[in-house]
Amino acid sequence: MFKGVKKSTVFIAFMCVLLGFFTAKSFNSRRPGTIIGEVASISRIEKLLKEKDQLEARKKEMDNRLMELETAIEAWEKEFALVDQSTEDIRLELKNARSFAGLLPLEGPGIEIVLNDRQKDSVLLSNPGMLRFYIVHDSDMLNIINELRAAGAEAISINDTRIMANSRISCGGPIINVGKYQRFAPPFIIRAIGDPDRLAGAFDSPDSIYHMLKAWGLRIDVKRMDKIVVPRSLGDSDYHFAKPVEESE
Amino acid sequence: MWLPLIGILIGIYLGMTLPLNIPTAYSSYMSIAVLAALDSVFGGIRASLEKKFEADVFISGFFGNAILAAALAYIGDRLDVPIYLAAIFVFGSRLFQNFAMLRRYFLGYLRRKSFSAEKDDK
Repeated sequence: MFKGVKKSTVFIAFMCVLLGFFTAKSFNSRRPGTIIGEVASISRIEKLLKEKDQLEARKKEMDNRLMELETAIEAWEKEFALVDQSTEDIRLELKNARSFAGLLPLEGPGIEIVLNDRQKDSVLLSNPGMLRFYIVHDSDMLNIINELRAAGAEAISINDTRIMANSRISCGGPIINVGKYQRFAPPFIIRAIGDPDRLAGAFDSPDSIYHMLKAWGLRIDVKRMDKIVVPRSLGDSDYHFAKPVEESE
Repeated sequence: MWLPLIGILIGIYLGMTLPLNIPTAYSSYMSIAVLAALDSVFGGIRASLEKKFEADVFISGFFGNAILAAALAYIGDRLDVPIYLAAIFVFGSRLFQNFAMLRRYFLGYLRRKSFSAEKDDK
């Protein structure tokens, strides 16, 4: 069959088939690192980091574009507001509605809370079974936010993410999901605009969660501030299902 | 010369198309198989260049080495000691040795060729 070809070449070619087969298979098969929880290879980590940088740059670009467009809208609104008093009133009402909805960055007096897990110490290390009491949970966060709201907080942010009327705060394992997109690990910095004395005073009340967190050795520092800034919310703000009820007379 | 290349291409094609899945747990066996095949190919080329090629030695060498290496890997898995590294070490060092011989052979071949070409010029 293979005339003029050395016997050794045929055998080596046969071995090359095997070599190619195994090589292709070992490239094909799922390598460790494609499964979460297994060791990721360095190249994969680098790839993901690169991807993350790209996505962040893209987000920044889009946020800037959003700001640009909103500045343009604001300019038009101002122009329109010059027509007469009623249009100026409409503009102010719109601005109010926007700040209420969390679409404008707000500033004012308020408090800043730093919330963190208990630091590693002998108590924590000798009670590994009690670990869940020594870390910040989503329920603690919800309690704090609720107490702030009860004390008249007008705008709240967690780690510079605005808490809106429909923001979720839920458990994500070692992290806490905040809002639609953010995942935060401790420490958490909660900022709330309102009367600083009233807001801080809420945590002095005996049934405040503050005392329980302190008792378990978590870090919760409340600081009164003359001026804090709560950022606006960025992202999808459209309702897909809810529509205003049309008043019929 | 072209036959081994075609062989590799056929092998890669088969590896990509055949619906055989090797579980992740056996990836160390896969790497040993790749190394054993590479070792055999290099050894075979070297032997054929030295005019010492024997088909039975070649084939039995591949399968024997592969089976021994797989057995070592299996025992290593059981004992929780990565003995398969021994196989990888041996295959790897032999690969480099064979490659060094091939390199010498080809360099000598090229040298003789250029030498005779120079002689022809004069």
